[in-house]
This record gives sequence, C-alpha cells and structure tokens, in this order.
Amino acid sequence: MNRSVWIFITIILFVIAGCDPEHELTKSIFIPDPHNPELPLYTEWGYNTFGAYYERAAFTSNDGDVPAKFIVQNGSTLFILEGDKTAGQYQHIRLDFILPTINPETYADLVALHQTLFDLTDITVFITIDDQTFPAEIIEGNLQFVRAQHLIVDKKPMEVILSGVFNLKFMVDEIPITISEGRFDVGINNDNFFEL
Amino acid sequence: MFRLYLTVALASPFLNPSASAQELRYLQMETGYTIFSAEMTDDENFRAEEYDYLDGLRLRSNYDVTFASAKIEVFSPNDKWGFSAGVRYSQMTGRVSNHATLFASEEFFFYRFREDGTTTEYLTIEKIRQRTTYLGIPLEVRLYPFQKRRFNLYFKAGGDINFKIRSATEIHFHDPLMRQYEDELAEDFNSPDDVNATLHVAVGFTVGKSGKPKFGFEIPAPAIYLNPDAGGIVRPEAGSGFVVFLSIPLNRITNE
Repeated sequence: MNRSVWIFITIILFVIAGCDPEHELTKSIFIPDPHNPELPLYTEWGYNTFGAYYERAAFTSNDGDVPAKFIVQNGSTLFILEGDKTAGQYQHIRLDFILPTINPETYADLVALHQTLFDLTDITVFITIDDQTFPAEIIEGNLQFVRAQHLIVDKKPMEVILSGVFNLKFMVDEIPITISEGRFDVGINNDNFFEL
Repeated sequence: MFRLYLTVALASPFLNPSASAQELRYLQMETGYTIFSAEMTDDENFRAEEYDYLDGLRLRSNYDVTFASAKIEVFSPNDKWGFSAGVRYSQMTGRVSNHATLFASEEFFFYRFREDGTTTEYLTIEKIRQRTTYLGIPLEVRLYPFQKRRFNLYFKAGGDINFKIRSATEIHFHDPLMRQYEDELAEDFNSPDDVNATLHVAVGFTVGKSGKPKFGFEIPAPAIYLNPDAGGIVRPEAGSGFVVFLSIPLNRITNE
C-alpha cells in the first residue's frame, strides 16, 4: 500500500477513536468558576478537573496528566490529585491522601465514598512539589466526597464519578502553607484505579 | 385582543374604505425560508464543553421556518399601499447537535437521562430535531414608493399568528439500540408553544406591470418572536431568509 493510503487509514482510525463514548469521558472539560475563574467550577458531571488555590496561585489539573488516581496497596487506599501551579513559579504538585476504612476491590466500590468527610488531621497526606515528596504536617483541613455516582452510558457501566471539596493548612520547612477552595470532579474507571 | 386581530386579519383585504372601483386586488402565493440563530431553552441535562467567554454549552442549536402562504393583497386607490392577509402553512424546526470537526471533536454529546440515588445514566445523542407544523394568519402592509413601474421596490411591515397543528421530536442516538428510549426522552424536552406570533419588516421588489401577474422577491429583516419560548427546545434569536411570490390580479383597472 502506498503512503497516502496509510495516512488515510490513520485519519479514519483517529476519527473513529474520537467517537468512542469511553474516550470522550476521559477528556478534561474545564468550566471556569465565575467567582474564581482560574479554578474549575464545582460540578458533578465527571469533567475530570480539579483545582485549588496553593497560597494565592491556582493549582489545577492539566491536559497531560491523569488528574486523579486511586491506588490500593497493602490495605491502604491512596487518592491522588496531580496538576500544575502555573502562576508565579511553575510547580508540578501532587497530593496523596491515604484514606482509611475503605478497601475497594474495584473502581465500582468507590461509590461507598458518597457523602464521606475525612478530617485530614486524622489521615496521612503526602505532598510532592516537583520531585520532592514529603509527609504533610497537617494543621487543619478536610476532604469531602460530596457525591459518588455509578455512571452508566448507553446502558453500559463506564466509571464512578467522584465530586467533592478539600482544603488544608500544613507546614513545609516550618512555614505554614494553605491550600484553599479545593474542588474536584473526576471519573474513575479501570484506567486510573490500580490494585497492586 | 386575539379576536380583534383575527377579525382585522381576515377582513382587511376586503375592506373598501374609499368605495372606489379602481383598487387592485391580487392573489398572492408565496413561499419562504428563514433561519435563526438560537440558544437552548434548557441545558440542565446536557453534558458538553462550554464556551470560554460566553454563556452556554458548546452545542450547535438553530431554528428554521419554511412556509407557504396564500394571501389577498388589496391596494390603496393611489397604489402606494398594499394590505394583505391570508393563510400560512409553516413548518418550524429546532435542532441541537454537537460541533463536530474532522479530527478532534466528538459527533455526539451526553444527555443525563436518569438519576437514582448513586446511579446516573447518560445517553449519547448525535442530534435532536423538533419539527412543528403551524397554520397561521399573516397580516401585512407594503409601501410602494415608486408607482407603476415594471420593477417596483417596496417596504413591508407585518406580523403573523400561528396555531400549532402537530409537533414531533426526533432523537438520533449514537447507539442505535437506544432508540427504544426515544419517546420517553422526548417528553423531557420543552414543547413548542401552541400559539406563536411574530413581527417583521422586509424589503423586496416585484417585477411585472401593474394589473398583470407579477413575480416578487423579498429579504426579511430578523423577525421578532412575541413569545420567546415559541421554539420548544431552542429559543430563536436573530435570523433572516427570503420570500418569493407570484401575484395574480383578481380584477382589472379601468384607468390603464
């Protein structure tokens, strides 16, 4: 086959891939919050975004990294939010919340998080800024899963949508840092749920 | 108010204020098409991207009207004014679809169909089309500033009132197996009003001798819907189109 035929086939496959509902659900849709336009609006649609103010700069999900992951390992459940702080000094930031009391076997079990509030002073939180990871010395804060939903698309189970809010104050090198106005709306399926 | 409109509309072509035998009367058969930009009337259950700096979802919505009318036009004794009324059959179509491009965008959007506790169901939809048929009464007045020319420019102001005959909502599902939910889903969408009314102005021209059959063409300025939710799933905003018509004289004048 000549080269133009291969190019044509590639384009067709690309278009077909773009028409898959599962693929569409993994995209991030950033809808600005009218009151805080640098942050995504709090939604419950599975838009795969999160955002918060890291001190005064917005720290949000990006189009390159998977915004949220769940990792279950050795009886611990890790909820990860990963994104960028672009205002001021650029920093890649990751928040790892180690959630007690839930031991999901599949992503579908995460719906048990519906209307669950975690006091972050009671759980372990790791913060990674660029390549440095350290346990956060939490002064105060909470993580609330406001809504968890099984999402069925065209009668087929697709993912669990987790929507919620968070805020925390913690110490870094004896300097207090505030993460405020945090909100997330993420879809979790087999691609970002790991049982190790 | 409506009865008054109806009475005036139906009687106006036959009124004869000057009692003169010189007035021209035409049977006018016209057809036209108008397309409107439109916004969705209720986007609460639609999952789609939003415009960055505009309100609203990044979905394509529009509204168009195709119509055919039969009217009687009666001219004033000086031939400057033409008053017309008649009946109009129109089909109005509201559409919502996704912005599909060749490479990136999806050709469907998600619609939240059901919610029950911690379970939410979406359906993937490619297009929603709501077609409504109306029977209406147009009432119009034309000003012909240049008299008795073969090519005659005119300005028109008018309105119409339309009564719904039937309405149907077609839903094109991305997964054909979901067609079984079409009727149930169609009930979720706003239905067009049973009665709607519009006001409009237009500019046009006729070609043909006075008192002989004439051909006409006009461009209407954006019509104003007096009931903004007339469109059902979409709210028509600004729009324009064209009208073509044939006028056949019903009487002969004696002074030509």
